[in-house]
Amino acid sequence: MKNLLIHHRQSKWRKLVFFERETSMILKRLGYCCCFLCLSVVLHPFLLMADTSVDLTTLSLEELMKIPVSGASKFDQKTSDAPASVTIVTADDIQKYGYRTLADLLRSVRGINVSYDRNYSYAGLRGFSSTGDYNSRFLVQIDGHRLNENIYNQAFIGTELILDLDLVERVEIIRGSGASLYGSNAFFGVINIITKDSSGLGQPEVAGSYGSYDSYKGRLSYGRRFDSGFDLTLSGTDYFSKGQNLYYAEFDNSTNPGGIAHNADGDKSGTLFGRMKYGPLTLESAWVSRDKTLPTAAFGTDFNNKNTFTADKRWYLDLKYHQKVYTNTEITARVFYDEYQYEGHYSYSGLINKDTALGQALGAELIVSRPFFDGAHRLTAGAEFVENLTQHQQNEDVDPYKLYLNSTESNQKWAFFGQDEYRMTPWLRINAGLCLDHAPNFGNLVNPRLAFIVQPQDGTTVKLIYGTALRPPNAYELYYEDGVSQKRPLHLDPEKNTTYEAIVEQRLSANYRMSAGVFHYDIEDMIRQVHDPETDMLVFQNSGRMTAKGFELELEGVWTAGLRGNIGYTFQDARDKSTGETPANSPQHIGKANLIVPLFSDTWSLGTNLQYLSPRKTIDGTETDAAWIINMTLLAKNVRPGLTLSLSGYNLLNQKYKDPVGPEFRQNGIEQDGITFLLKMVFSY
Amino acid sequence: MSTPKHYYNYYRLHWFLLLCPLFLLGSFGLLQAEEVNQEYQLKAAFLVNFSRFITWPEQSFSPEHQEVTFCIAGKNPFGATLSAVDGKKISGRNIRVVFADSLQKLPQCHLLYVSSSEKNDLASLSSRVGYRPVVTVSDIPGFVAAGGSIEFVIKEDRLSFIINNSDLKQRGIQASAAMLDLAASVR
Repeated sequence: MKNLLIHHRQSKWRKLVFFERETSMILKRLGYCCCFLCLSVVLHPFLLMADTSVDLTTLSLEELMKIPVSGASKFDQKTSDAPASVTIVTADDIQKYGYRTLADLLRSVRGINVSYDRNYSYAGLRGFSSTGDYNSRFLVQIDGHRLNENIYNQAFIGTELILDLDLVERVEIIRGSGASLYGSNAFFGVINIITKDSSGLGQPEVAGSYGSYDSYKGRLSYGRRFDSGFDLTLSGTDYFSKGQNLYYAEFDNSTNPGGIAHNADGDKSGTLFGRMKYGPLTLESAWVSRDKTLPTAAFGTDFNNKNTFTADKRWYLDLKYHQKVYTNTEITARVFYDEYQYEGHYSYSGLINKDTALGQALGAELIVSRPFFDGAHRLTAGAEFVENLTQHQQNEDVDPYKLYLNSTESNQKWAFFGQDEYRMTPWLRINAGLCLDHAPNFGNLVNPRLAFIVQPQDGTTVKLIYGTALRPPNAYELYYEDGVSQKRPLHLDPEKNTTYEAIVEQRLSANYRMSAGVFHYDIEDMIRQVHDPETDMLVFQNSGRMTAKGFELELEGVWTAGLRGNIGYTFQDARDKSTGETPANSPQHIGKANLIVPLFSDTWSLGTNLQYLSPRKTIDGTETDAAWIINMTLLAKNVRPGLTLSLSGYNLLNQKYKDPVGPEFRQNGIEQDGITFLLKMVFSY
Repeated sequence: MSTPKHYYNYYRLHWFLLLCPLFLLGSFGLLQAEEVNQEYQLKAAFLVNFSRFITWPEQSFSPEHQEVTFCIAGKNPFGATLSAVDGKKISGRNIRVVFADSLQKLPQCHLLYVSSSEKNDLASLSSRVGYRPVVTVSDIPGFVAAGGSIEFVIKEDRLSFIINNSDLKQRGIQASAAMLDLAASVR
């Protein structure tokens, strides 16, 4: 994946004729969608009328516990109290909107764009979505365990994610630098995944789905809390997708008449998850193995060749101790082991170049949190130590054998962090954090963060946030070279992100909440891959300064019986300071709207996502088309005791749109899936 | 090159589609804004039901005050819902509902509902209530952990509650087994 070659680009060929022919079909389809959506929403109040006239106090507790709730406190207070702009997506959202992967989920979140190069998925926020940075500037955690591995610092969010999304209780998306509490990968944001407890799963629970392009998925889970207090969760998932035969105009020539990559889009993954809880102890482990064939002929490989693929394996073991002592002091301690294996096979004129990596790390963390001065202060202090046992990267031709790279590193890093939440007056809180990170080769990095949270009245929150994040280069950026296409840098400095945000959150009525925010990001010494004319190779370099400014608006609504939705808009203007140019893959406008409509009773629901991305620049200076995406999921929950069915349609408008990609591609953008469907069944015993 | 005509219609429709949910959100809000928050109607009904399952010690009632007193501390989130319960007979005793502006001004209560407006003042709650036979109830997250008796929680869109039975026992209050069975968790 990391072996780059440079190409001359062909001019972009736009399929306008095809586009026009498609339009009438799309309009028809769009009409159906719209009618269905409107009809279901219009009918909804009549279906609800029956249950409002009952005097609730005459009902028994059992009967009351069956009535669905809605109202102001359903707006998660956590998002208002947090010293950041936070979005929370719950298990219920995942089910009702039919999200298949974390990438799907993030696509529906305000201000986030996700691109897919038919290998990995990459998240972008605040106008920064570096092609080929492997999500190293986002921190992704599962139950507090870091998922970014120790070579590329890659966080997996597509089918390569270590966890089946069905096991997720909620996902917290925290925008902005979280480096003061979470360390250097929290450069643009933190994504916290919290898994369901054992009661959220059946004994056992079976799930199966079938989707477009011969995609099969099966899951078997078991969750039980025993009388002794011992709590067990086990789950396994297997996924296979045949993929599509994909057309690439760039390769439509005499060597590849038709320009189609046949059977080269296969995706296969398996995940395992296990957790045991007893008293204050939790032992958790997860494993994933995922193989993806690359149809795009990336890195200058042969086109229409099934032998180019990447295989990623990742697992971790995490033992956590969480206890409350002296009534109000919380202690969390953990020890963990992480492993990541990557193997990429790249076919060059039939010869296989093998690119491999192995990362192993052992670590420990201790966090203590305690209120002081009658609860006016809450202090949190922590320390983390990680022993990077192995950071191995190798590149070789298989036959005839030739070794290009064999780099092995091992080192230690540690960090101390502290945070004080000071409740100065009932309406003003100050949240100050500081992290001291000791990075191998880069000494001590200090990351501060300061937030003022003002709540002048019930329902209004104003947040002012300042923070910095220093990210030292990772092992890949520092040590990868193959002597052919990529050179190791002589010197790299950490890159630095300074962020300023102001957010206003206002509850408008029992049913509405609004949030508005402005942000300014300033990145110095951004680590980017550039072309070195002297050696004609690619090299990582601290190249200049990037800034981004913009604003966000969101309106959320929650009504009775589970009807809820939100609509968000983000304007962002990211620039390279020296050239004044907008970077590639940085949309200026992002629109998101999500709506869940219960139908007939609380058994049936219709979840709709709308997403808009404005045209994005590609690295050769052209622009991709804007993307308008509509996804819909019809869900029947407990249609028979324990049985849940859903039918989802994605990209219902069958939009042909491309995501911009990096210099490792001859294409300037990779076309995304058109309309696809998924039928899913879950049975819980 | 001129843009195909369809191209325009196509994009106008998209705008319409994006505005459609906004419009729907708006119209629904108007439709429902007048309705008293259903969640608190439900919570009020829970409070009434709790008093069916809970037995207070006899000495908490005086010969002249035989009714069960519900106190609401802080901003009243129930609207008129709870006032409608005032005077109602539950398990042989009348219910009396008393509203107090804050925790500082509390009369003698059997059941004390702590409104979320008091969330910054929980520290003084335990000192006010002491070990008297009072069932404290709230929907403030972490209420039970902070020493409260019952905390409302929402699980899978349904209202439920966490109960701190050891706290109740210390106060000489008995919660029936049926109520403990229904709780989301018992401490």
